[in-house]
Amino acid sequence: MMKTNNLINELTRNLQPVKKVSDPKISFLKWLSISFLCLGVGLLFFGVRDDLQNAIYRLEFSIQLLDTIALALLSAFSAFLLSIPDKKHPIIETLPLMSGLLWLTLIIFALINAETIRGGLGLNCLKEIVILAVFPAAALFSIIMHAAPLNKSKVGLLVLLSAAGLGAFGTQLICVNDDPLHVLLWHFTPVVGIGLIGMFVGSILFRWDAVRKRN
Amino acid sequence: MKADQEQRLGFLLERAQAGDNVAYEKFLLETSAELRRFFSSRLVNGEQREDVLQETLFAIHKARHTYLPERPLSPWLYSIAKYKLTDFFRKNMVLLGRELSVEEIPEFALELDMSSHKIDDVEAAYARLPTKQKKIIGLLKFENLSVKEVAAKLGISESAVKITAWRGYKEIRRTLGIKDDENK
Repeated sequence: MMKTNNLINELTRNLQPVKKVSDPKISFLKWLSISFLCLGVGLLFFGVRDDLQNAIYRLEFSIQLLDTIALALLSAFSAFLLSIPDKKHPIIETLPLMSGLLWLTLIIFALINAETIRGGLGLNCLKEIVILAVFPAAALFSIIMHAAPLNKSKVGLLVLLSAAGLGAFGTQLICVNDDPLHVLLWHFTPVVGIGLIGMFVGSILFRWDAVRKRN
Repeated sequence: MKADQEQRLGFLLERAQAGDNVAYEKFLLETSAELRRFFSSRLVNGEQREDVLQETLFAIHKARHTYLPERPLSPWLYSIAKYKLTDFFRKNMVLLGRELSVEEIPEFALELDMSSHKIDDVEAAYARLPTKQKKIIGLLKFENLSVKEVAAKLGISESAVKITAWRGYKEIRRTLGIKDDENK
């Protein structure tokens, strides 16, 4: 108990005021505005697809579009919620997974019902997803690094899933190839892959509780 | 934690966020007492309990800027405490050590790889044991008493201690799906 009292003395000595984190909902809205601004700039740079006005009226395209933006927003919101120690939110935390599974289901459904499958190389799509994801990812990591996430890998996963989801959303507005195999290989898979990289990145970056040196 | 205590601690922490070190000291002292009670049902070894407590206090210190006064303190506090407790168990891979045997009881080694078992599962398996098995295993492994010392403390034979502990280990292994490795 003496050591604990010594620690308490050490922690209280020279105590400095701290800047409190914002409420997760406020942080989310701030990030959202930055990200949509970046997305807008990206779309201006790459140029939206010529047939967008017609594509939007196709049900499978619209649903996938809505689902990818839902994936991005739900992942970011979950990341912000998990960035501070608090009670668990099991339903909210499950929603990004549901969103991702829905997207996969829609793609598989389209594959099954397709008359022909072309596929098509999609390195440009991969490039677009990554470029559109960079600034939202950087913004998210930057905000959350000042918080205190307990499940670091999970938050890292959600951060990059969100950014990549946003990138995929933008890419769907750019890429004219709606072939389901192409979407599976060059839109969906990169989002999942980038998300998984986030688990590793999160465990490295979110070291707010690095072990103290004991005397 | 009672509602008035939670409110008081929340107020002290809010003052500490503004740099009030007197309020912060009061907060840490009262929180320490509360957390000791929390850890005592999960860690029998006193030294380990203090270690986890100190790690938790340090984490609270590093995360104090994330406490939002408009939200309740308890979820914030206990999520950090549980996180540090889980961290402790992960680092200490061997939860229950090797057991000595009497002639008629085969020797078992019970090592639990914490990376493949969630601490909640291990805790749940231990908590489900009958009172006598739980008590004896706690004395042997968490208080680090010898079989002889446990027998003397409980007023039973050494064989009874070993047989009861063996049954408890077997039950924990069965609950966690670990296959026994019997020496012949």
